[in-house]
Amino acid sequence: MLKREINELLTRTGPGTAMGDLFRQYWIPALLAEELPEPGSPPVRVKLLSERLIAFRDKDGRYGLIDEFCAHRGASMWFGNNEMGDNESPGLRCAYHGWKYDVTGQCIEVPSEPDNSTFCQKVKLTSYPLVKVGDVLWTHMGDPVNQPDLPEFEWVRVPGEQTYTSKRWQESNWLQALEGGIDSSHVSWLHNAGLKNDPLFKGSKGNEYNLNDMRPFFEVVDSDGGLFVAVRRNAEQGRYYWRITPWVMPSFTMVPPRGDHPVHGHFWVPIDDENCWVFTFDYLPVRALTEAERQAMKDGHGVHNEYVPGTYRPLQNKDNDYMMDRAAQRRGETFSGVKGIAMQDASLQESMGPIVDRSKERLVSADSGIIKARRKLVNAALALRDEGAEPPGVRTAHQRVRSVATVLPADASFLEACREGLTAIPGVPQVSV
Amino acid sequence: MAATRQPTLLQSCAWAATAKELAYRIDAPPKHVRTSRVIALDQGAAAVVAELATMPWHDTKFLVADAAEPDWLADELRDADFVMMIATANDGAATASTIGRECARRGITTAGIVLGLGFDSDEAVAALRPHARVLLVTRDRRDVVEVLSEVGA
Repeated sequence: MLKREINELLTRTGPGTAMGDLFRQYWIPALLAEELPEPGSPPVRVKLLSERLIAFRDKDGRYGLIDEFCAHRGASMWFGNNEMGDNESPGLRCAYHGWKYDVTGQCIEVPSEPDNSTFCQKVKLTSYPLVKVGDVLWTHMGDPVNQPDLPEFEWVRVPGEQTYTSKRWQESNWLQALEGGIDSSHVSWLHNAGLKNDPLFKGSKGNEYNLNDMRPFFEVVDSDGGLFVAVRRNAEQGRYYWRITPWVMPSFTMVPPRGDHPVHGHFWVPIDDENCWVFTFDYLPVRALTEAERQAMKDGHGVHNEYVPGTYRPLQNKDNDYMMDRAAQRRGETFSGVKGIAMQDASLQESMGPIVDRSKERLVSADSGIIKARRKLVNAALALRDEGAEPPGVRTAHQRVRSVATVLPADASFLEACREGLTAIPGVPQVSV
Repeated sequence: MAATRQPTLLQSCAWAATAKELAYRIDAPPKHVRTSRVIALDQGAAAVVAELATMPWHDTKFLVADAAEPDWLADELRDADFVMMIATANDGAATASTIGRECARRGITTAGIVLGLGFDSDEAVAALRPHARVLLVTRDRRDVVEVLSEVGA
């Protein structure tokens, strides 16, 4: 069980909070590039780390992420006009009284002021950088002086035909969502049917090891950027099947691969303290995704999900009890009655409440990865607050990691045996069984 | 076949996860008693265990492995349901093996912590691996306290 004050520290990410300050040291996914596909795209409301913002792309194609509300009367800039005219300067004009802002949040026009007024130069909305890397628009919401190099996660650095990213709204605090990504022990239970049926999982030798050994052993080891959480199960001839999940601080995890299937993972981003975005990716280091693979992802298979049309809200959600199917549960097609890996996780994590009360939980030793991750987050947040220490995961070298699935002799150290496999090396295939 | 009844109240559907409904969760912590043994496998670990023993715990005993006394283990494990082995050096392999086998025989959950305090911990990790359901390799002694606290020791 966790002390209430530690739970508060870990889960609150708004401005001025210790964990919020920690998140503001990193580049984090803000939205998908598809949400602002072209110059002049309609502005998009974005809430991140409990701050309401507007993302837009001006007529010159530049991305901006600024305070959602006009400095004049506080009207939402979502109603604004992203001006595209030949004689107009690039920028977003408030629909109420016509104040206009550029992508840096600088006010560039106040129509009620005289033509030669310099008043607008003294008005600037809070803004953050918004940069496209891969299929994702990233932002850094901290002090620009400490802005790190752009993210180097392999999934956003491989060519576009090798990668696919989706996102979904999860109605829970970010931490309980992330902890699902670190906790490997639930996979053999909650997701067991997916290993047999899902087009993006089925058919690998690793699935057999998974399903034949329901009581795995765990090893948790520090990495430069966070942790390696390794799970071993029995394989043939006294050897072990290892699945190694890297966690890079603050909230990036990668699922170990299965056979030649694409490698997947998540970036969990706080919207506010009771909601988060789950950015979910699949990629391959050395080959393009096939059309069938990409279509399966779009159809919600693997770790992706189906949507309420026109939104990033999952089709299965609180309003419909996640489309619980008791008959499928009885037939063993799903373990929880909920279809799909992503929504199996989300339904249970949302059921814990908006912010789970960790002072009442009863962990077991198999939860050591979660225990250690929480501790690393607390330590990093306090070291940042008290000493200004740079947290793990900020440096791009920490981000060049991969997950691994492999079979090793019983006496082998997974860390030694898989040192190369755990490193993202361009042009080298993933280590997978 | 019985007709499916749709939920009528807030708490009878997934919306029971709202903050407001969360207030109606039973506040009393679930009953939970764990009988733990924390065993030092070497001299360095003995110092760690001695320090831990001064802290407040529930039903937890802190021990130093005694290879010279064959019966010590059976007595100590009689009521235990959780054993944590702590290593700070590479010389506890035989003891870890004895403890691990005995725990397996009795259905006791095991955890191993290798405190990598300036030594190459590979041998210690290899020695503990077959016998610890969970193995944590760390340089931070506070991790021991954290894991024990979290599992209710």
